[in-house]
Amino acid sequence: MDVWMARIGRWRGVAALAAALVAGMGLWPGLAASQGPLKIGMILAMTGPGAFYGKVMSRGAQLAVDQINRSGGVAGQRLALVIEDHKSGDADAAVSAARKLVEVDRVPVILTSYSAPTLAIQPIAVERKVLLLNGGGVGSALVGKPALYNTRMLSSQIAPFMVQWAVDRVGARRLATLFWNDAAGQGMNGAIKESCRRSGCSVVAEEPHDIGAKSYSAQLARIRAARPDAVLLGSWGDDVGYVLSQARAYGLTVPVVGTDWTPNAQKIGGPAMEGYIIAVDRFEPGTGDPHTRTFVEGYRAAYGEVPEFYAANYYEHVRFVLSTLIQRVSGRGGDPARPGELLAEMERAVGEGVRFPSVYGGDMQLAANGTVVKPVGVYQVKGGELALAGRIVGGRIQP
Amino acid sequence: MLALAAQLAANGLIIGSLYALLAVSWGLIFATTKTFHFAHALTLTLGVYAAVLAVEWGRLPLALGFLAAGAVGAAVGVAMELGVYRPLRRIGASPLNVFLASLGLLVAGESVVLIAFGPDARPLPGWRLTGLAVGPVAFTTVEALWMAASWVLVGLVLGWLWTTRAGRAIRAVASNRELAQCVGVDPERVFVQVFAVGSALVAAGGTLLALREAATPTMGVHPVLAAFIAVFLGGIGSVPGAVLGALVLGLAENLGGLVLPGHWQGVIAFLVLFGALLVRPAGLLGVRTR
Repeated sequence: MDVWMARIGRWRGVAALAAALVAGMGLWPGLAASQGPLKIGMILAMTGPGAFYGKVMSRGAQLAVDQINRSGGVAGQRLALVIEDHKSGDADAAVSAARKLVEVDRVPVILTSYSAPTLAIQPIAVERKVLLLNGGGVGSALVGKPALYNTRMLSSQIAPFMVQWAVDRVGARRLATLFWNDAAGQGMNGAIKESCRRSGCSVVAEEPHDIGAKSYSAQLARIRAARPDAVLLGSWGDDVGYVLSQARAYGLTVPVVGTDWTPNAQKIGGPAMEGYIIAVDRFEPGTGDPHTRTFVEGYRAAYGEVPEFYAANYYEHVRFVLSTLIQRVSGRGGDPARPGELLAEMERAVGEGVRFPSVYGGDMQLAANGTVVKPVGVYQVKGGELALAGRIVGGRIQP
Repeated sequence: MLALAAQLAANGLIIGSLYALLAVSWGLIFATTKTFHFAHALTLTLGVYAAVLAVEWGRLPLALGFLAAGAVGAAVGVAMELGVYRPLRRIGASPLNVFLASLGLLVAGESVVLIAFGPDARPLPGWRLTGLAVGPVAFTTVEALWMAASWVLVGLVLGWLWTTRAGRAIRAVASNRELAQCVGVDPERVFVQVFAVGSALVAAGGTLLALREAATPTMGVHPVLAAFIAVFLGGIGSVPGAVLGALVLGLAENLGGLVLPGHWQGVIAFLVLFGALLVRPAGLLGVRTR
């Protein structure tokens, strides 16, 4: 008897090994899917000057995964994140990470951030039929890319409000731009110039800088020499703190209008951040919206902090966008883990005008060109914290 | 245009002064030991984190933060010499192997710093960045400190090298190791001395830098790369050459801003090095050896 049990056990082991190999080789995708949770790939800035973003974005997504798994999964499907690092904008690192995610982890969806890494991995996503969701990158070049859907306002949508503030509120006629020398920064610079042309102002200095640069002495000297009325910033993360602290120390006292603020940039910039203006997606954690409340309370319980909009965007990706798509695929009898299923379902949902729930209040609808329209707010740093300085109503900034 | 030129020239002198300190710190080690010590960048980083810990967590005054940086830097440098480079020399490792070992130390060390302290930039408290102006030229109090501290430290090193017995022994080993050994100088002891002094200097230079730019795990590479360029530009083996190379590099990087966008500084640095070495292969003050 013991001999037979041992033989059965041995064959069971061989069968399991064979099944794992077959599934691992992708010859039997359904079996691979049923082996464990549905894997969601993420390529974020986990290290480097933008590590703040990687931290909050992964936290937002992880919270959604935990909430979904605690309630039994989506259509019985449990979820798991596989997080990779693009080192704060390194396109090569993003491509390596994407290849690993699609070839080894076989993820059907990747949540991505930053413009250059997102643009670098988009051809891989198209080739391997992987859905890309971006909630961080802002470059105008992200519009109209197959397989890519952006759930945040892009530079072409935000720049008009930055220029509007500078022209209408500051009375600026001569603008200088300082921006990342990549797709996001160049996109923002182009959008600012276009908005400025329409508003009747002129851009008197355009200064690109490397991502993660810490010294801006040459750029700021050139900007100061151009005597602008305001500086418009297409930089993100810690860079904002370095720019503000050095600009003020070098005697550049004109208003600085940007599109990003982080607690670490505030720490680096210190008192020089006072008065800094940003136009950005307006996520208000204090609203009574039930989705917002569930998110904010869950985030605070898990991480001891109030979330900001980057965490919100990636929470939404998992909690609402992917959940909806998985339910739709499963409802049709499909396998959401199979490459192409989620992407095809997203295209169908967008074509049907499906509105996804949102923690920004109400819901959000994605356009066929992969863009979204979300509330925008103008904020100003006061006493070391962001204070709402204006809302956008009818395309104009209102107090 | 004149105001911009004056501002850029001032920026060049300011950063050139800091480069001079860093170039002397690396050039001293390279000229004496012939070790391409790329992990000097890690020493800088560890020294700066020591200062941040001392000032932020230990609540010590900034001056003691500098001392902590110097002490940790010296200890790290000596540990690298005794634990890595000396064993490699004893087994007859090639310069390329030594360089690769140094590169490995840097990569591994940066990863350890990343794990230990996290990826976020950590400002070094204790000094407020405020502005000063002389005519059209604006600069900060930190940059004034860079210039003062760099030139004092460079002057002290030059004085030490030229007026003390230990300094003469170092110059003797740098000039001809075998001959120095014949007259009773112990090269291995000299190596430890230059690693201690050079590493303390780079840690102090890094801490000066962190007053404006905060501490990050990878902060050492760019300034130490500038030090390499300055040393090769000025002439290997020549401490005054390293100082001159640093000033030329700082001025070229910044004055390039008169005609090129500011982010071209890195390109300008290598173009200057390339051009100078074409004209003077041994560097600006280097002596061509046969």
